[in-house]
Amino acid sequence: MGGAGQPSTPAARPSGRFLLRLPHALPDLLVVGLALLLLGPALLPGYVLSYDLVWVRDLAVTTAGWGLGDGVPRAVPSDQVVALLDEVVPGMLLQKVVLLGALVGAGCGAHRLVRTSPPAVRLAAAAVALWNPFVAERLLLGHWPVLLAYAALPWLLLAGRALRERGGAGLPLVVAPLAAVGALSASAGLTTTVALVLLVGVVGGATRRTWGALGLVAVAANAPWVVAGLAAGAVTRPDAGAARVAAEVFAARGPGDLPAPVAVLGLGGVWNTATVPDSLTGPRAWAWAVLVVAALVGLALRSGPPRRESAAVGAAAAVGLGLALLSWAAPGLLAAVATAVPGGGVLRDGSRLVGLAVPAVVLGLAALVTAATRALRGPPVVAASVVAALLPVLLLPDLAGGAAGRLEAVAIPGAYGEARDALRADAAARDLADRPVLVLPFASYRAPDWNGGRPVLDPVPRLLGGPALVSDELVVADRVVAGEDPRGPVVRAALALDTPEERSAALREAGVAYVVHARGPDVDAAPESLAPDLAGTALLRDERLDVQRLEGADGPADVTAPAPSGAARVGAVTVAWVLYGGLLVAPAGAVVLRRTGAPGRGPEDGSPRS
Amino acid sequence: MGTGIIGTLVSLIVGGSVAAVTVVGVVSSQTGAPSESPGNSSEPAASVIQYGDN
Repeated sequence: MGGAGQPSTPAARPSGRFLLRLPHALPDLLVVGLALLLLGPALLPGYVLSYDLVWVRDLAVTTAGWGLGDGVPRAVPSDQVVALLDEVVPGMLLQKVVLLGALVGAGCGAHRLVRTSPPAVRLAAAAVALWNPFVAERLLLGHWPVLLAYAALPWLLLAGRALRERGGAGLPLVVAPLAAVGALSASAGLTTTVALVLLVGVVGGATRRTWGALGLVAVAANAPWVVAGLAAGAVTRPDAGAARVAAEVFAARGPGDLPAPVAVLGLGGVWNTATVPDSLTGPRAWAWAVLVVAALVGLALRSGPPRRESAAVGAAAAVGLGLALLSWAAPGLLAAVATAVPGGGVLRDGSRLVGLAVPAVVLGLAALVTAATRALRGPPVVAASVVAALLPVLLLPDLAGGAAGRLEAVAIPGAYGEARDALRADAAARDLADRPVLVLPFASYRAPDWNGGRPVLDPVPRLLGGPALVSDELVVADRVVAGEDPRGPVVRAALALDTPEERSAALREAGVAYVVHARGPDVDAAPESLAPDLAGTALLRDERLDVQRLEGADGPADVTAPAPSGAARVGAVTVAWVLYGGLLVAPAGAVVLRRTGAPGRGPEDGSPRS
Repeated sequence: MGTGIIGTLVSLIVGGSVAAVTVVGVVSSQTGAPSESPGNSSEPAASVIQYGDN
C-alpha cells in the first residue's frame, strides 16, 4: 500500500489500485446497476402502491400494529416496524430504501457465496439472485417482507459457513438481526425459519447448544405474528369449503398455457397471473425452468467439500419448490391441513417460499459457469462475464423500468390527509377516537385512478392512522375467499338493510361511529351494496372521498364500545415484542461488551457462544 | 495464435449479441404499444376490487 519506507510501484498508485480492485468490485456495481434498472420509476418521488405494497408518509403507531387490534393481525410486525422507523425516516424514503435494500442485499449476498470464483461466476450469481421471476412476481404483488426474507437467505448461508468454521459452536451475531428482518410477516417468518435450520444449523454443523440458540432466535423472530394471531383468536380453522376455495385460488399456477410445474421450476408460479410479466408467458418461462433445473443438476454434481452444504441448500430448494408443486398438485391436501391445523392456512400461497431455492440455484449455476469457463483466457472471459451478467435480464426484460411502469411511484391525494384531520378533530371532541372507522366500499382492494388504475390493498386505513374496519374478504378470479374477521358479516348485514337510517343504526351497534366513503371510477363500477348511502353528518366532501359521522353517533354512549384487550393478551404480546426487539438489541450489546473487554467474550473472535 | 483470434472473434460475437439482444428486449418491453405493455391495466372495471386473477 505504499507505506513508509516502501518504494511506490505503479500498481500501488491510486489509479493502479482502482484497476486492480475493479474486477472484485464488478459484482457489487452490477448489483446496484441492475437494482436501479429494475426499480426505475419506483425510485422517483412518490409512493409505490401495488397489491399488498401500501406505504404512506407517516404510518401511525397503533395498538393494532402491536397485534392488539380487533381485526386479524395480518400486518404484524411489518406495519409497526415501519411505523416506528418512519418516525425517523420519512415513509417515502423508507419504502425506497427497503425495496432497493432487498434487491441489493440479495444480489450482494449471492455473489459473496462464490467469493473466490472468477468474475464471470460472481456476476452470474449476483444477476440471477436479483433478477428472476420470484423477485418479479413478489415485487409486483407487494410482498416486501417476503423479499426481505429472500434477501437474508444468502447472508444466513454465509453465517452458516462462519459457524462451520467455528466447529458449530458460537452462533454468529449477524444471525439474530437477519432473522428479525426476515420475519416481518408470517410467510417471511416461515422462509427464515427454514433457512435458520438448513442454511445455518445444518450447514454450520451446529452443536446442541447452538441448536438451542437457533431455536430461540427462530421463536423470537416469529413471536410477534404468532402471538398476535393466537391472542386475537385469528389462528382458527376455517371450514372445509372455505379452505378448499382458498387452497385452489392460491395454488401455484402458470400464466396462460404454461404448465404450473414449468412456472415453479422457473422460480415463478405465483397464483396471481396478473402479476406475471408478459415475458414469462412464453419461451422465456421454459428457458428459466431449464436454467434452474440445470443449476440444480450442477449443484448435485458440484465437486469438492462440503457435501453437507450442497445437501442443505438442496433441501431448502426442495422445501420451496416442493411446497409450490404440492399446492398445484394437491390443493385438497393443503386445504385439509388448513382445516385440521390452526394457522395451517399460512401455507396456502404455495409459491411464496419458492425463493428458498435461489441459494441452490446460485451455487449450482456457479458450478456450471465455473466448469464452462475454466479453459477460457482473455476476451472469452469478458464475453462469458457479459453473458453471465445479462442472461437473467435477457430472459426477463420487462422487469426493467419498474416492471415496465407497473411499479410507478404516485402522489397520494391530499384529500386523505384532510380526511384524517377531520376525523381526528371530530372524534377527539366527541370522545369517539377508539371507535373504528368503517371504510367503504367494503372490499379489500381498490384500483384508484390516482394510482393509474393499478390494484392495491385499500390504503385508507393506513392513511387515516386510527382503528379501521375493512373487509378482509378476498375475491380472486370471481371466487370469494371468506375473511376471518367476525365483524365482516355483521357489517355486510348492516349494509344490506333497506334504508340509510337502518344501516347507520346497525353500524353504530356494531361499534362504528364514522365512515370513509372512497370515490372514483373503480368505486362507481363496484356493486352498490358495497358502499350504499348512510344517514349521518358529512365532515368532508371531496371528489376522492367523503367522511361521515353516522346519524346518532354524538358520543361514546351512542356507539357500542370495542372490547378492551385482556391483561393476558397484552402481556403475551408484550413478551413477544420484547423477544423480537432482543434480536436487534442483544447483538449490539454483545458487540459493546466485546469492545469493552467485559467477561464472556469468545476465545477466538469475541463472538458470544450460543 | 489462430485459435486465439477465432476465440476472440467468437467471444466478441457472443458477448456482443447477448448484450445487444438484452438491450433491445429491455427497450422494446418499455416502449411497446399500450395494449401490448405489461403495465397496461385497462382491465374490465368490474375486476378492480379483485385481489387477482388465476
